Amino acid sequence: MTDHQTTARRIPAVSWRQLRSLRVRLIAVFAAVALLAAVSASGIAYWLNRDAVLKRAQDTALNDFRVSLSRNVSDLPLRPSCGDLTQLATNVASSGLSYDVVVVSPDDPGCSASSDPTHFTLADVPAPLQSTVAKPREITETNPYRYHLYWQRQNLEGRPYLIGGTKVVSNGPTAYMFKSLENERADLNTLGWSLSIATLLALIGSALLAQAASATVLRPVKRLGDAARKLGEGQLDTRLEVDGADELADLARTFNRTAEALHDRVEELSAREAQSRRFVADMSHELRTPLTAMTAVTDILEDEAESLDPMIEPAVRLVVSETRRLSDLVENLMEVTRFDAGTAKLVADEMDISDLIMSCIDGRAWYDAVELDAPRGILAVVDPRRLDVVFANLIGNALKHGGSPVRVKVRQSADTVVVEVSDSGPGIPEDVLPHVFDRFYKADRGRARSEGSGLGLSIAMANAQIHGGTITAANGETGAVFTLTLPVNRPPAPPTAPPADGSPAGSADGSPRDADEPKDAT
Amino acid sequence: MPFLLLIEDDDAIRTGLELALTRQGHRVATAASGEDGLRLFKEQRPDLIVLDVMLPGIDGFEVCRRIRRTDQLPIILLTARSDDIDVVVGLESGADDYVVKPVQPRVLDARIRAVLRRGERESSDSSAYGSVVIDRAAMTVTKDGQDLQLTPTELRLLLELSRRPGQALSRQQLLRLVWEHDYLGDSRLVDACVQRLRAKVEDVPSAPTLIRTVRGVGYRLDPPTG
Repeated sequence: MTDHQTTARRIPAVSWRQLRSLRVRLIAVFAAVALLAAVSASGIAYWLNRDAVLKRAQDTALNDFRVSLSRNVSDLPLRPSCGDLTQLATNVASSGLSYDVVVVSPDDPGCSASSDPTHFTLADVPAPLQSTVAKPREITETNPYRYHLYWQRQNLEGRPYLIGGTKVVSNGPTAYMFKSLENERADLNTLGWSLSIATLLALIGSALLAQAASATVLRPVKRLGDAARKLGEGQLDTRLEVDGADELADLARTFNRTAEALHDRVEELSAREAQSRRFVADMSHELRTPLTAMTAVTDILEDEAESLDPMIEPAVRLVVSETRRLSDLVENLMEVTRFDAGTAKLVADEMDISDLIMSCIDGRAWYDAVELDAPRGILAVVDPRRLDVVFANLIGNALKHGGSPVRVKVRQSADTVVVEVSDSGPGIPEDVLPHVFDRFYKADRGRARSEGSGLGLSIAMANAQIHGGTITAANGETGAVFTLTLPVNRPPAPPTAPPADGSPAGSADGSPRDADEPKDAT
Repeated sequence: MPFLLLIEDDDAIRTGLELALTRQGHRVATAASGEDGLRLFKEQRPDLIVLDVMLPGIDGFEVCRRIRRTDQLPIILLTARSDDIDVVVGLESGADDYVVKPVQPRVLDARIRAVLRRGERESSDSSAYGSVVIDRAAMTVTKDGQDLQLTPTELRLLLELSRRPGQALSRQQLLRLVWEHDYLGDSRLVDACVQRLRAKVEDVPSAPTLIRTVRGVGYRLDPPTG
């Protein structure tokens, strides 16, 4: 369930990252450029077209109006009646292109002669146009006429119209023309739509293009990312295929060179480390041969010590005790090298944990100094000798640095066994706490030599870890507390010697034993 | 006084162990190589052999195998470490027990005495398990009337199992009863010995009907039902 929650929580973070990804940014830039280009091109095309279309329509209509007017105005009497004016308007309107005409006379302001009086009257003519039309111009060399034909575009009831006007004769009637620009508007609208669609298509095209471009750029980037991740995970032989001569190929080449260098460096380092490990392993191995011989005779020396010269006895005892210490140290060193080399193995059997602790305490005559709170019947599949090392180190350490009474508490919870070893000492300084499991770490630097080898706790930790467990150190109420956590069932390890009959005679199969297995007092 | 043969190539270790074992009350003969050891073994017929694994020429395993072809006397291996393949190979070659260098003479002595005790007779009757007859008084095991050549350890293991027929014994129990090891005994000793014992007493060692594996517990001696 936790997994699902975590996944659910991750989704927004990922999409935010995706929004800011190179791909999205590329597409956005492409789209912006395409939009700008398309809109400006369409805009210019639209305005040019609009001007051309309107100008042609206007010119045609106005010319026609002028010609038609001048042809019909000659029929007008000197003092035309309202009827004459209406006749004039109708004649002019019907003679030319489809437009309507309104004629007004200053002599008869009440008369509004129109070819279509229901739709067009003088009121539809904008006032600025009326006043411009009524204004006489001075006659000069360049301007032979007193009155000119003026025009204006105007929306009437939502429809576009071209309204032109001129004096028919000086101080005579004025004629106005209403030419619908509905067709032109429809044409221009169609043009606008076409351009918009073209812009949209350009936009989509640019997005697709950006996608393709980003794919070609991003595929190598992704490959590079994958390769870098693999390199980080320790696959130092990861290399990229280099093709082309662009910046990405350059990057790939640099990556390959870096990986190569890293590979060489790591190999050199691990070779050196393996060398030094082998050296320590060989050394301790070599040390063991003379130690075995020495250990063989220490018992004799010890037995004879009492009968020796009092001057020689301490020397003999020193040799005996230091031989044993050296022996322990070498054994610990070898143990450490086995853990380092990964050759340490478990010989597991199902054991009663409290029996093991009891035996450990018993064997080292610690009974008086240890308070044991361990119910029997807590079973776990463990290597008894390795676990004995762990208990001996934890309890021994507590006795040495913490002081008695040392309390050992065993509890089972679910599928783990928890062993707590607490002492009554001053506890562990906070700055030392993270290092207690380090090799040869001495809390007191001034003490050049301590009783222990300096490897005890690190070996205990390694032994716990090979069981799939761990040890933690902390300060409790009364002193330092070391907590060993072990799984009850270790995952099955490969059997050290496969039994010939195929039955799991080897105990390393890690299978849980029946709880009713007969147990003997240790 | 038990007569031991110590085969060890390192002079210092050989001298040291000889001194210590002699002091513990054993008569000790020594050999510096596997070949010498085998020759000495044939000439002097010791009660027990303490055998180093790493020997120049033929190694300890091979020495062990050659001795086992003809003789069933106890063999204790001197190995470098307890958790490596040496122990397994050694036990498969027919060794009865092993100790890890550097070994305390007291520990080695205790192991020697324990393994020698396994061959001691006890006053008891004989019992039959199908074709296998265990004669406790004579300390012999016969199968179809023929004497089986068992090492003292194998014999003791069979005796301990036959004392409680039908009852499963855990490896730790067997380690205490047969090997006299404390709680730190190596359960591989039991497994290896059971394999060797099966090879000798079962009709089909790969399908044992006499010495049964009790999964999750240990081993059990069953009288054949048929």
